[in-house]
Amino acid sequence: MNPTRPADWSHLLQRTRQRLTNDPTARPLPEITVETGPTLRGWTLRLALLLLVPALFLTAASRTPDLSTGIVWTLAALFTILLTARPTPATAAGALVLAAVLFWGPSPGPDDGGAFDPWSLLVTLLGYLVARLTWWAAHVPLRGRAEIAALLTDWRRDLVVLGGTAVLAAFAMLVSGATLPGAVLLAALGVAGIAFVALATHR
Amino acid sequence: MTAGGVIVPDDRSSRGERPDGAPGWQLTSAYTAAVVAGVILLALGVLAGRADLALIGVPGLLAAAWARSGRPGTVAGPGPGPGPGSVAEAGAEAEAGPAAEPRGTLREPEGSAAAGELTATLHVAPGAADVVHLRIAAAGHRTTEVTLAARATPARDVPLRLSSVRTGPQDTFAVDLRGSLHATWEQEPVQVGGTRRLVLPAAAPLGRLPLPQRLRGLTGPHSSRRLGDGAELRDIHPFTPGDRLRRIDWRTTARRSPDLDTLYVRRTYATAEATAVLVVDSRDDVGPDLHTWRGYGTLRVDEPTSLDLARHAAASVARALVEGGDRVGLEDLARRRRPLPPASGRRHLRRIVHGLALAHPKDRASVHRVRPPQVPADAIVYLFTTVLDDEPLHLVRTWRTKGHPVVVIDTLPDVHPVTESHLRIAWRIARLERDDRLAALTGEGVPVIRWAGSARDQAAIRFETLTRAAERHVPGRTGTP
Repeated sequence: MNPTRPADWSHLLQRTRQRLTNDPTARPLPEITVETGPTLRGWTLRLALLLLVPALFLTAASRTPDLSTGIVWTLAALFTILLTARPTPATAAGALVLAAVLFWGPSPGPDDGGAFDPWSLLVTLLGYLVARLTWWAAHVPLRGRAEIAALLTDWRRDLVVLGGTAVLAAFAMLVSGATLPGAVLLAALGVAGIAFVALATHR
Repeated sequence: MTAGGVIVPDDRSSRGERPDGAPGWQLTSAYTAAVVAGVILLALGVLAGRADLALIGVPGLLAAAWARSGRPGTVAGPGPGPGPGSVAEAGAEAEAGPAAEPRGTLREPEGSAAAGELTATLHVAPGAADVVHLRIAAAGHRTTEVTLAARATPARDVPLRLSSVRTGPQDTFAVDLRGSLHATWEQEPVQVGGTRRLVLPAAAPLGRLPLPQRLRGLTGPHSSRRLGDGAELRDIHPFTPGDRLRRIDWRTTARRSPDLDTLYVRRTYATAEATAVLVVDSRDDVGPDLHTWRGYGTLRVDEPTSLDLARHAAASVARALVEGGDRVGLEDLARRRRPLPPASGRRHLRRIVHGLALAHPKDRASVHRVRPPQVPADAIVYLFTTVLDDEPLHLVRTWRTKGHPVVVIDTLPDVHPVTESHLRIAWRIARLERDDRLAALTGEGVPVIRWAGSARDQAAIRFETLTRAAERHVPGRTGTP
């Protein structure tokens, strides 16, 4: 039989369509009904990673002007694929270290605040979010579900950690004599304040 | 330490279990990765003299320190006792009091279940965990993974439900449960297993059913040909010794015999009950997917098989007959022994439904039977079969030769089309042979009622049509279909 003839092609297409629509073995198995609170599907976590990982790399590399754009995009794409396809804490830690290396670049001058660049706060926040999302993506499969309440279980700890980091950053900035933009100072104080409230209300 | 050639930690068994059998908490790679990345970034910051570089690793280190300080131990938390129903428990021992490890208890309703209602409630006592991961598996279903919040409540119930429409003995849930704390500590998974449950066939409401021509017994819901106590008038007859005085029809007597020389009595037909035998052909159990007919592949649980249809049809017929006050028996073609003899009553109906649920194919059951199942005299036979071989034809002819009316209920499900040419040809041949058998049955005057697919909704109408046709042949009686 010559499969290139139009009649054969139409027959082949018809059989393929029949296989896709009528073949019971091709249909997915039924799902077990589990009654829970509001949930998020696992693929939404991967989607968030798909957005956050390039954002981390581009944010970190944006302060180093001599970097090749091709290298940055290649690294961002590589780690995005890695973390989306196989999210592991080790990969997330590697991405964080690499983002810090990209951020390293030339030392900021006295006009930029001495040895402390406030831009690192954004890199820190994105790096922490990537690490947390990676943990969740590693524990919730694509078709799995996670309760939104479970995703928000550790919000107090996250606030405390970020608040503590903001306090440390403010201290480092003061020591290095950097000029602090008002918005950054307000944001850092706000996070630190919320973290203090969280600590005071519940451990 | 090695056990059976397997390297295991010193305090573990060869299967990796702890000596006390309880699942333990372990720091995960998330902790290690956060610490290593934090230390590397701190070192980079020191080497470069850049505080901002070191700052990037600080959140991970702080989170790791937080998690390390919150090592899970024994916590105060209630573990409500097991509720009613069959209970499968895993995790720490219940009498040991509240423990740090999450525990799971599967509560299933007592007794048998109805089709499509395989449910259970998973009782989760999270212990020290703030998040509980569940992997729920069941035969014929996709494995479902759910992550639940556990910190806010000391214990929570998670209702579970299967999508199976199958009847008979069915495997239920198998749950793997694992807790985690601060996204750093994780517990080894514990397993919670459900029990194998018996799913009873549901009974669809049917109207009147064909009954045997001759009825038996001294009482029942139908009028027989015999004279006796009943409601249906037979005739007016002169009084004879033995007639009851209350049967005297005084109006007729006054009209026909004004001098009261002869008394007249109203004679009625006696009431009686019908006897029916349900014969279930459980020698094979085929589904709509032709690929599974030779034992390969798995039957889908959301599609009824021929045996599920036979159970459903037989339960419906049995319920209609028993509710009408008739006697019903059950024969299983795959079992040579212990048929259920005809009887009536709700208890007997439950016995029949249980017998139907337990009917299943057996090895060597397809061997030709020399003698058909013994059927009581004057009983009607309802045969539930797929008519995929000649055996039902042989049985029907034998019963009819002995004078038993037979109704065949065709329980072959609607077969899905196949693309493989060899299967298509094989099914075409099998279908033609089956059509020949059905045509032969119809030609011999045996009613065949289809029960699969949309034809199931028409079954009650078909039964009513058969009943009316029988009544037309023998006026005032229910008769042979």
